[in-house]
Amino acid sequence: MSTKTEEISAAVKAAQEGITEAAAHAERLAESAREKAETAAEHGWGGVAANMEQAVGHLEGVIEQLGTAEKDGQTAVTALDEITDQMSSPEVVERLVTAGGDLDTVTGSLDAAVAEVDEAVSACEAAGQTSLPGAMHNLREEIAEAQERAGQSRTEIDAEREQAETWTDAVEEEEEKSAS
Amino acid sequence: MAELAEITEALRAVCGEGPGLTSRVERARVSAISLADRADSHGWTGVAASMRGAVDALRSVVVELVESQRAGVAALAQLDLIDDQGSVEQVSGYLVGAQRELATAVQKIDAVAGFVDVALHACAQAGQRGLPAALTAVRAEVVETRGRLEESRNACDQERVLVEAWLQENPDQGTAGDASAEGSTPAVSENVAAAASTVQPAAPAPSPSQESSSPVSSLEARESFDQLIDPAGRTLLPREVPGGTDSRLQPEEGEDARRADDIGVAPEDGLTRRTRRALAWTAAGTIIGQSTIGAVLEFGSSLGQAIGTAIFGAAAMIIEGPAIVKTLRETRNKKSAKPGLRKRAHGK
Repeated sequence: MSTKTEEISAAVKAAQEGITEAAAHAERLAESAREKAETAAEHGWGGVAANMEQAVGHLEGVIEQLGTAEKDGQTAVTALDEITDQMSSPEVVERLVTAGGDLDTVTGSLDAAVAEVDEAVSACEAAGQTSLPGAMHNLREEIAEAQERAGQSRTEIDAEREQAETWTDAVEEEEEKSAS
Repeated sequence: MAELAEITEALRAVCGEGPGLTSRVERARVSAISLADRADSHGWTGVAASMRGAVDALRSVVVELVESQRAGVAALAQLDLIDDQGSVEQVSGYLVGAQRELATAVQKIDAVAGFVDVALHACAQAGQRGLPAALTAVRAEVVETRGRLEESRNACDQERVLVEAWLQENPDQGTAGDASAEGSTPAVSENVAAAASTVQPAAPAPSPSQESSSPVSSLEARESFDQLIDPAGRTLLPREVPGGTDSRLQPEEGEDARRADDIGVAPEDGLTRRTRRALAWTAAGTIIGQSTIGAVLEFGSSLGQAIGTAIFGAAAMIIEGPAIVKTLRETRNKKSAKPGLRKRAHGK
């Protein structure tokens, strides 16, 4: 039977894997957008090429934000995995606070990534490109899913932190339970 | 000074509170187990391990508390055996037994305090603050209980000293046979109360080695001739000595007493031959001692006088010697400077 800390850590790891996949997806889209921009430039479609270059720039921004989220997610996982070795509840609380903070950063990065995807979609639409925006919507959903997982883990970490703080001062209810 | 009833009641009260204290520690242990399980379920393995240390320590606390409680009840049982029918020696024996059990109880309660400290340390390591609050209260109660047990032990000790002091004044009333057969031994409670009101415990509390010796042997050692003289100044005849026909007097004294009994009179002036002989030796010793001391003092005085004369004579010779020599020389020179006078002297 897995413990609560293990469950949270597993959820954060799953979110992190989703972020990694989304980052890979974003790289493929960025490469595709770059090729399309080059093709438009070769053909001398300057306006189309410029729009597609903007889409490439936004997709590179998505990749950067997802990379940051992935790194912070890893830090959160490390903090959660350290909880097992801690001998006191305040140290457990400290690790949970660290993990929660890292997940906040992850969530912020994912927010920024979603915004960049939206900008890339707009640029593609401005260029009249119809196939990339559909793939970008899928990327957006992947990122949103990872964001939701990270948010859920953040909530669980908060609850766990409260549990640890309650545990620190708990005894009366335990005594009452045992007395009854 | 607490009376026996007070000691017993105080100890009974302490023993009565024992189960409550044990129950509280048991609840604290259950609470610690619950907290450790909770920490385990959250995956706080280290914290759970720290709490398991507290659980183990509290288990030992319960064991030691139960042992202390058992010893306290055993001491109470010893004290309850003391009644108005028993002999003073039995009272002393029961008090010694109660003291021994109370020493065990105190020892166990010390162990309890030690294990409570271990549990507190484990809780502190786990960062647990609620349980230590309860354990601190338990510890305060343990310390108070220890103090009360120690008081009971000291009270038993003082009571035993009083009993033995009473026996020292009434050495022949310690045996159970005398007490039951002749009724000469006052009731125990009366004895103790009387001793408390009249006898100041001159001797300090006996050491453990002294405690280990049996009361009977100590009574035997204390018995002497003087202790057989009653307050009226009359020497007790062997048959009057409580304890039956087993007289502890020397055969010579027994014969002396038998003679007195045969002729129908008490020994002269209430004294036996041994007493008279002792008085004669004392008088002779006094005279010889005074003479010897006088002679020694006189010799010392003469010796001192001689030494003083020698010292002062020597000092006078040292100080005045040159002046005397000078005077003698001047006199001799004057005589040699007046030949006419010498001739006139020869002429005459």
